[in-house]
Amino acid sequence: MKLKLTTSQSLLILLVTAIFFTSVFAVLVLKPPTLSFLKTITFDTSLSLLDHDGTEINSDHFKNQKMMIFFGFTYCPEICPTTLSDISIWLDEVGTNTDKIQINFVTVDPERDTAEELNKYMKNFSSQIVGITGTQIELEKLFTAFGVYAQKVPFDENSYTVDHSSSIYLVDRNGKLFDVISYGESLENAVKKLTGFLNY
Amino acid sequence: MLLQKKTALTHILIIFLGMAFSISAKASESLIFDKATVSISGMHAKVAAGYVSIENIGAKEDVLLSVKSDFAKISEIHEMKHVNGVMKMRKITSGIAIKSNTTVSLRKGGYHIMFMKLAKHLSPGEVVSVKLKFQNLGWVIKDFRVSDGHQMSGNEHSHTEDNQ
Repeated sequence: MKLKLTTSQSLLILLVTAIFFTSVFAVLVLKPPTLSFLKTITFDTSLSLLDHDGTEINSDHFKNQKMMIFFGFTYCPEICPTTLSDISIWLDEVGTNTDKIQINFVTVDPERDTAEELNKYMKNFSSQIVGITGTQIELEKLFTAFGVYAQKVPFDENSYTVDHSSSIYLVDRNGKLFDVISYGESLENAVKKLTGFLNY
Repeated sequence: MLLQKKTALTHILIIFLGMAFSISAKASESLIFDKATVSISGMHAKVAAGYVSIENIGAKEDVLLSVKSDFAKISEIHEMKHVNGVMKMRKITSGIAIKSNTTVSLRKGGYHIMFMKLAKHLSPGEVVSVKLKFQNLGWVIKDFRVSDGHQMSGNEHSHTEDNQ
């Protein structure tokens, strides 16, 4: 049996098909952007560290506030001081509400970066940045939580360096990793990411 | 007679000195140094990075072999690499070759001189002497100006995987 369609029926089918595909396109492609977190950071509850004033801190230090966290060491000649300095520049560019972000600089070299040494070092940068040190075991709990690479590499018997991840992590008050600012990102990009982090 | 001999000897000495000076001047002219800076990170810096641009206008390749300074107990040539989000630094033991008619820059993000265990406090603006040893040229003493490195940043990182 051959089905014959009238012109109006054909037009109706065409219209329904068009609406269907437009809806699928709208849902799949034009959907409003939803916030997708990279991962959730789980802070070890037994965490015991020191800030650059020598005050003991635990996992609570990293909770219930938006924070930036960066890993480095004071013997780092380039990336670490540059990044710490850049953070201040970004904060100035973003302007309002930046004081609500907690900023942490965690050492990957606890052997040389005692709280006392960190205290001297942090004087070179924004007072908003908290230097954090501790034992290798305690610090490794943080490295693991963020998936940070930190490896001591000897130059010779007198000196060594520490290879380490160079990114800055933006973490929300629930421990969700909102975004990452990579080393070398433009001022414009960094400010955009920070502004998004502050406003979400 | 004796006076004539003395005069002749003086002339010979002057000629030799002139030749020696000329050789030395020629040799030092084969490398041109620029942008010599010692970058520190604030007042409590424990390490400093040395940057310099070296142009070889001579006919032969030369190699920067080692570095010495009075203000640091350890002065080494290092290379920084940023690979897959990880900062790595390595000591260069084989030297840095500077081919004829090329310029090698020791700069942020690549080769640099690493001054460790600073023996004295360095201040921005200060000029310090750094001795650089080259394969052909031998030891060369150059003035490096101290600058507060992190204040120069403004996110103008140089991302060089290759310095040449």
